[in-house]
Amino acid sequence: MADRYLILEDGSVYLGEGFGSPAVSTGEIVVNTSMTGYQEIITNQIYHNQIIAFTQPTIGSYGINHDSYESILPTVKGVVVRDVASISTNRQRRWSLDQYLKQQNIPGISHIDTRHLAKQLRASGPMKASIVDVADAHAFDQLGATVLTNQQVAAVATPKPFPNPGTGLNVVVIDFGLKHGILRELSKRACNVTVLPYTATTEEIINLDPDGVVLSTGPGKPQDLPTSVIQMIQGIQTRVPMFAIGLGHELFAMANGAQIMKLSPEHHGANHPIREVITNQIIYASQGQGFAVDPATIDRNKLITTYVDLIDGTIQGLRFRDFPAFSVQFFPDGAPGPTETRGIFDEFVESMQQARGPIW
Amino acid sequence: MQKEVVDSMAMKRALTRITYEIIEQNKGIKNVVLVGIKTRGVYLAQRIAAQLQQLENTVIPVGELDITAFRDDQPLDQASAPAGYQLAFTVANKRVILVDDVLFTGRTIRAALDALMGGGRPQSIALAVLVDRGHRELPIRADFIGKNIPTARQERIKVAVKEIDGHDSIEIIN
Amino acid sequence: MNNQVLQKVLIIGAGHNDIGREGQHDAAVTQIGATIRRLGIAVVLVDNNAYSVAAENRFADKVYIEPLTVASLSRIIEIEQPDGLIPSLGGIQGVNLIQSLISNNVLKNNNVRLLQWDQNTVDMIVNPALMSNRLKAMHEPVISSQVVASEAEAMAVVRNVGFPVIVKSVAPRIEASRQLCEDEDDLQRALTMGFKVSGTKQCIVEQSIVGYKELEFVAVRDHKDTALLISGMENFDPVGIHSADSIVFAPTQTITDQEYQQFRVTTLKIMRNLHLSGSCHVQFALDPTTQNYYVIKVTPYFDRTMALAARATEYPLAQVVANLIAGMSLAEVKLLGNYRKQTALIEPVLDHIVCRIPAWPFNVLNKVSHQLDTVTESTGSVIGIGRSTEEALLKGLRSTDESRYHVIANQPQDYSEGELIQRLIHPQAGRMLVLLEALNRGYQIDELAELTKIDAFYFYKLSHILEIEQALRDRPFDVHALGRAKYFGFTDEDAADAWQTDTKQVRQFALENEIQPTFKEVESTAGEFVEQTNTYYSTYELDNESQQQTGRRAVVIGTGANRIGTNHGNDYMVSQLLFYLKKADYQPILINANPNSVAMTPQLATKRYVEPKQYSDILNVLDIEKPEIILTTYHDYRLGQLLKSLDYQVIQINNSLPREQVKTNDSPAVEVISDGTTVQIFGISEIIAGNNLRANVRGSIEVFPIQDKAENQAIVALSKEIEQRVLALGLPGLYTVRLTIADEQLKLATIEPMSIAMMALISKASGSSVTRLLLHVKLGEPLSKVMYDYPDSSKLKTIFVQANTFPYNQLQMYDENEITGEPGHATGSVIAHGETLKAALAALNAGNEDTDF
Repeated sequence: MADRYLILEDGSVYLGEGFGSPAVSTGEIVVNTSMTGYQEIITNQIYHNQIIAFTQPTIGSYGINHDSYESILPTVKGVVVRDVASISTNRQRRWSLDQYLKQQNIPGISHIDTRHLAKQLRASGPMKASIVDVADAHAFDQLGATVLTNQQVAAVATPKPFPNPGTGLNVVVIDFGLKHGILRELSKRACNVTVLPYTATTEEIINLDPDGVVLSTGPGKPQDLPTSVIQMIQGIQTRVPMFAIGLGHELFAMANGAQIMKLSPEHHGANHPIREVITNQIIYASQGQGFAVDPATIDRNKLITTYVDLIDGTIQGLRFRDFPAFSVQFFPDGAPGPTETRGIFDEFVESMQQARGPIW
Repeated sequence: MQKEVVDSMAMKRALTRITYEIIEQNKGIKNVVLVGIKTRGVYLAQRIAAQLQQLENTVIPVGELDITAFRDDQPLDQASAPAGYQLAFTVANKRVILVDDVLFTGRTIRAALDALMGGGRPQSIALAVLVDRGHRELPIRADFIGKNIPTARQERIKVAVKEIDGHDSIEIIN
Repeated sequence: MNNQVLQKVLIIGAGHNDIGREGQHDAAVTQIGATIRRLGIAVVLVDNNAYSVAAENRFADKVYIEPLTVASLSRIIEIEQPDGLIPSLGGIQGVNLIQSLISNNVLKNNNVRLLQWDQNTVDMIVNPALMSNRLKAMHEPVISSQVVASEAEAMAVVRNVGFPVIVKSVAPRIEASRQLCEDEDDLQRALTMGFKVSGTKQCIVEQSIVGYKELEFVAVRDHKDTALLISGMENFDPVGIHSADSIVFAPTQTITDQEYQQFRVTTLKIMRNLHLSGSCHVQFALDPTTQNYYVIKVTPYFDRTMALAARATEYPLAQVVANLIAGMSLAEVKLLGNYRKQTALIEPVLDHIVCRIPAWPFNVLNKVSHQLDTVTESTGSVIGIGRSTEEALLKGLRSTDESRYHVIANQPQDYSEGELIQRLIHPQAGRMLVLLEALNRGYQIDELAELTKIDAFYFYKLSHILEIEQALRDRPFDVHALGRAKYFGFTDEDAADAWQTDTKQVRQFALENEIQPTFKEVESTAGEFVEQTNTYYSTYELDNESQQQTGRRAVVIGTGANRIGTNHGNDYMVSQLLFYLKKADYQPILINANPNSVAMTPQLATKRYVEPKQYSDILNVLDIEKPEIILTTYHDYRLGQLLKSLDYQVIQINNSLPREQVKTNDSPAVEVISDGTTVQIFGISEIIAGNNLRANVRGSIEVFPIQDKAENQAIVALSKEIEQRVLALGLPGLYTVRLTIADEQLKLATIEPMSIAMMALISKASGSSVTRLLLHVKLGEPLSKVMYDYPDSSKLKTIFVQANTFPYNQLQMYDENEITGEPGHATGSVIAHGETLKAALAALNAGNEDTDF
């Protein structure tokens, strides 16, 4: 395998070996500390246009499985690892990680001191980075000149509605670049799901007569989305139960007057203790966030803080005081990561059932 | 035969939701007091109060009501002593939320209302139940329902709470 | 758990070390005892393990060296009146004792609270059938099994589920293995053994899941129901090989997130359902074809896997559990040292890979079957830590100190094709060589995975190791070949061998080409947070995290894998050396790769390197630390000599085993210490034959002190001669001067370094650490300065006795010519005392009626 370089905008150079696609690519580099679930992470659209560095040293050891996709097509810009197992040993004998990244035109780079990289990024925060063949001045010029898009949601969210039929409650999912885990959990609960583009209006949503609305996860900065999204949320949240996740949570907070701040260091992993305020219980959850709701800007007459990250005090969940509308910053579906948060989907379903009233 | 229909996690969620709904419907918890109907209703009321305190940082009074003596389906000779009304606070001008484990015919609640009314005029009385199993005999409904469980009249619902039963669950026994 | 404040707790130690019972319990006791004491709770410890570190050095407020029996524990409970009993530190034997203490109402009558567990948990641990029922009630899949009391009943089960079946003893009085039975003969043998060791004369017969993947998960939970996973681990070897005999990787290597989360959630669920407080180890079997799984075993007491989880992650497991025992929640845990406030609550994530490799007794007991099955045969284990699977595996293999042919298949093996296949299907100890040989002969990976039930992933990794090795061979003194080889775990010695040169040349070449090791911290957040565990491992990357320790550095070469013979005792001695080096104002730095070692206890050494003991590995550490002194023990004599030749100041400690086995009665000896210029006598010891204890004792028994007037007088007469002879040896140290009786007179026979068993015996009998004395004279201090706390030997009235324990029964050795009871076969050592020799021997035997002395 060929020598390749990971270069960072601060001038750092890491020599490694290429795998996956031989393409040169640039994106913001983030470090994920999850112990398992590389496929779920690579295919999660929250990492659109980003380069993911894994601290778990061996990546790829069970290949690519058909039930571990979190989107149809991954759109990450690169995968950085210490050691890649470019083999397929999974039972289904499907693609190896190397083959998969080649197909998807995503470069990977191995033999990187990812621990050092993690420590460096812990201090600096996310940076632009490139995976290149030659780490010369030209490469750094290119890296410096690259302007990363802020239209990530438009790039990954569905442009058209589509159904995910079920026999139970009627749920509308607003897609900002959703994680399949959300649909998986709704399907397990028999929900009849319609996925709408994030440009959907209040009226379009209400016309589908939903029992509840989910605001999905997605990439990027919430402030970069059009204000029509905020208006839509404001229109919906008092009418039917609402459940907002990740980017959806940040938008839900904005719709209720809170501000969003850049989070440093970011959370990408599943090891933080998170306190559920109402029960005072500590849980663990899958996290992938570069932004957080600024606690100082929360209107306590409107919102209740429901979950708090015990490491840095960041808000991990909110709830509308007067209506059954609530949100979580983390990924309650896991995939990858702890599954103890999946009960929040049950909470949502029970809220919808309650809003409909008894069936007799 | 007994069948667990609600496990401890689902029971936890039901109480969580009731707690949030109390905040939603009362627009906060000002003047709210909880009154648990003995035996298990008291523990449920205490848990809801603890959860409200977690969220709102306010102590919510919890009273206990033993309504055995007030029930209209008890033989009269047993109903002679209207004891068991232990509220450390007055309900006058309060928003009272009655808490019970199971809502069935509605006779318990009617008795509870009788008992409560004797202690002053509340601003309002609402009802929170963990389980609504149907088969009402009186025009009573719950404002906060943990779980609607359709049942046959001859079936029994058994609510276990960890405070006295060692675990949380709801079972149907037939 | 109620909120009553604890003031005093009782810890029942694990007793003597044994196969499957290494230092992990004592290591847990040292840490938990120390932490609980710092929380203001008094600790009472009962143990009869001669090599218990916890029983010395004030890790407990009060130590009872007493038999581990219900009678003895009842008496101690009555005297001490503790508020609580910690049930998780004494292994399965401890749990059995607690069950009796409960059923005899000893706990109830003395108001002793059982900490950590419900009482019925004790019953479930002792009787797996009860545990199995409980797991079924929580809808967890368990293997169908049945309790039987006769062979006929067992056959009835077999007719139902078919061979193979697993037989295990109900309520075993000793740590009993699960036996895999392929046919009626196996079954009969297993039942006979199982009924014999069972407290209820019953066995469990269950369906076999041989060939499944075996996973091991360790978690902690507090009484407020907060629970988190410490580590998920994966056995390289499939179910069917005892997990103690398996190579184990942390973290899991080949399971998907869905499978991993399923095991995580089940582990936490089991802990919640059983209301366990503290740590718990759950073993799973995963059907590699269907993703179905079974819960195999739930172990809520400290065991080797918990020790591995703690070492692999450096999560402060014992400290956290101590806090939980003291009634704290995980959110309230107070950690000492440089841990972050929330470390107890952060679910560990790793950016390194740990590989545990078993160590075998075959070099000493060569007639033991090398066949790997459900019966434990390994006597210990070591770990290798690296940044790739290859590196962790190679470092682990190297740490076993076995011939390096275990690491590289240098020589083609001469067995036939048929024999090779047999060995692949019926694995033997040290099977790595066979797997490499098969790859070298061109076997396909899928074929090998099918034959061995080892995940194909590992064969890819082994092939890669062979590729790297071949490249190294093909390109002598090639920078890239060497760089790559080192990056994946090879050493200077490997390269020297491949290039037919010497290590020094390779080292020089590597240095010139800047191929240098970098050390990384073993910590539980994968670099997300700044943690300071002071524990490091080497790799070859960009960034080195280990800086030279400040202060007076003393590098101590640890014991490595627990082997039969000396190593349990050696680990005890090394732990003490670390403890007293620190007291003497040195910064002790330990090099050791044994996860069960007491010496790895975080508070003992200032800094730890989890590294193999090969020469080049040691030099890598020394290059950074440049210590003032280096301490080596018996096993590393040659290494010590090599280091001396490099002008390091090396203190070589040669105390280990008695030089020869003394089997006769009346073999007195004088135990002495010398600082090189003066000699002082500790007292007189005697070796008596094992049959003084009971029949079928193979080893002998050491007695100390002997207060025999005539002997004393004779020794006073000999003292000048003793002094001259000891001083003639020239080296400060501890010595045993053996005496013989010739012509009815005592005469000097031989002088040898005092055995570690004797050091432990004298330390316990005198209350003064003999290891401390040894250290100080070795550091060059005069006896006049160091002997201050050694009592007047004539005033030592209590008689202490010590006997070695052996693994013969466990290893199913019955050949009288082999089971000789020589000290070199020992796995552990028991100690007892009494006012008379008879009383001391009775105490030694109490609770040890079935012990293999």
